[in-house]
Amino acid sequence: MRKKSETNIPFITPFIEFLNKLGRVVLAFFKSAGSLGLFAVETIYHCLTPPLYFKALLRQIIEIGFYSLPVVALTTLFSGMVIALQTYSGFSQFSAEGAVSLVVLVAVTRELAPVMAGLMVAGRIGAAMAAEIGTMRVTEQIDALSTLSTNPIKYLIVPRVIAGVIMLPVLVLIGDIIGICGGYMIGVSKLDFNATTYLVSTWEYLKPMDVISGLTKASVFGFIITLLGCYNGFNSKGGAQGVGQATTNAVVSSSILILIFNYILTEVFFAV
Amino acid sequence: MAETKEQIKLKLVNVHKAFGSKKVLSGVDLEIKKGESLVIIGGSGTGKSVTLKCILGLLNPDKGYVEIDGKRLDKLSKKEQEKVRSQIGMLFQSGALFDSLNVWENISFQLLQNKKTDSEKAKKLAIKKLAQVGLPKQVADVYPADLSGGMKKRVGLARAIANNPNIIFFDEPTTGLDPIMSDVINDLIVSCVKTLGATALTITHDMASARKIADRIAMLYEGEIIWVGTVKELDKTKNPYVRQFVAGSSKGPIFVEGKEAE
Ligand SMILES: Nc1ncnc2c1ncn2[C@@H]1O[C@H](COP(=O)(O)OP(=O)(O)O)[C@@H](O)[C@H]1O
Ligand SMILES: [Mg+2]
Repeated sequence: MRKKSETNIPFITPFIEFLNKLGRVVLAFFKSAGSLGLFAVETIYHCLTPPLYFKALLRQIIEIGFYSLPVVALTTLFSGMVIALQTYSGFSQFSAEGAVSLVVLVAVTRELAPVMAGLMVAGRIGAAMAAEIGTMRVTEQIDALSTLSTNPIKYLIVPRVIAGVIMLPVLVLIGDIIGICGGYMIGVSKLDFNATTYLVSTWEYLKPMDVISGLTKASVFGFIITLLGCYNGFNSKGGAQGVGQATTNAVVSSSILILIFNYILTEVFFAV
Repeated sequence: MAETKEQIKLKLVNVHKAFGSKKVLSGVDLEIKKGESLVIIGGSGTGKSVTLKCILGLLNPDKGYVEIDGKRLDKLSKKEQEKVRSQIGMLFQSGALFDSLNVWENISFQLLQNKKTDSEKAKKLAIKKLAQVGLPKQVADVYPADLSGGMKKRVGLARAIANNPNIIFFDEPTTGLDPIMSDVINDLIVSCVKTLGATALTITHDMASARKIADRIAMLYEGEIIWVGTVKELDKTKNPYVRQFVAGSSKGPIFVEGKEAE
């Protein structure tokens, strides 16, 4: 039997309130996903049409590629070392210690170097971009660009995104080498592998696809980091607090997206 | 061209703008003649900056349109709009200098970016513009973070006039400055506008500044222009809103947030 007034049913009011809230959250999610999508399309369009601001691009390439090198080198080095140790202690139970060099190679090139570099650069570069562009937004510098006949997306966003897409793979390639060296160092100094055998087996196991998939991931991560850093900064409002919020959002959202896209791209490359 | 009638340089027709449910402009009509200096007065948060941004195309009006040189901007293509707007110079409320660039790069930004002028020539021009706003050439290599408020405004002014604009906007040029510096800025605005022969639109709530700069004054209240007239007419008007604003009194018909209605 149906009651006349639904609000008389216990629990129904809180339930409807809950649905209301849920609906609002879902709507907000799609709204921001939509505006991010539009922003991405506009950015790509401006990437493909002249003019390109070369000086700004060069500055970003140095900022992203060169100054991120230390953090990327450190994280990949220790990742390679830890993988060598862990694989050895695990695989020795099956007398398969010989696979250490293979596991280090595959883990570093396919996963660790791109993901570590991505997350580190997201924290370093994504945050800095959101803060810089956000400050420019709230101090009207972005409006000033428009009044000086300069398209802010072309001048501010395009150089950053292009630099990210180009430089992340470069960083990851260097990270690959350093990570494998880390594994080699542990293998030779702590696990008593023969140096030549370790190197030769690494070389033999090396497959171009492993490296290429890692570099492709890196490029996608570079796009995600720079796009979200710029997007959050570009749309920040409300003074210093708004800029802080934009910075946090940029780092959190790009880190999550990196991990999601890492899974998706792994499926694309290696699903059988 | 009708020679007996003065040419209208800039015209706003029934411009509406709201942010969400908040109506900011509800039908602004305004005409500015060529070579005239018009000042819009009005309280904080009445939408003065929003009006400028609608003209500059930084915001799109929800309804109504803007005309420059008799051309409706919303009827033009994006490229043509940009071309029309490239003759507008703007001094922002906070200066809006690019803090990653030094003073001379700020001033000749447009030249350096779009016209591919070599940097030596651009710097020379910047120094000339600096002199026009009364700053020595040593300032050219300083970064905006190291400038005082008054100097930032002057550099902002130099950047706004660097491209010899036909129309020039000033958003609260004297806010945050001491009275003497305010007067210096006012004098500079008057002389720059005269030198350029430009049409000027200034926004302010500083009456001393308005009297000094304006040929005509318009008052914005609750999203509409409620009064337009010359400085002389301003002192004689019976309009209670204008009288209250000019007197700077809290007593009168103007709605003030946090004040009990009478
Ligand atoms: N981009 C925006 N988004 C939402 N609200 C805005 C925006 N720009 C201005 N406003 C609101 O419009 C009102 C008028 O702002 P403004 O034109 O800056 O005032 P003022 O007359 O002091 O220059 C303010 O209440 C402000 O909060
Ligand atoms: Mg304002």
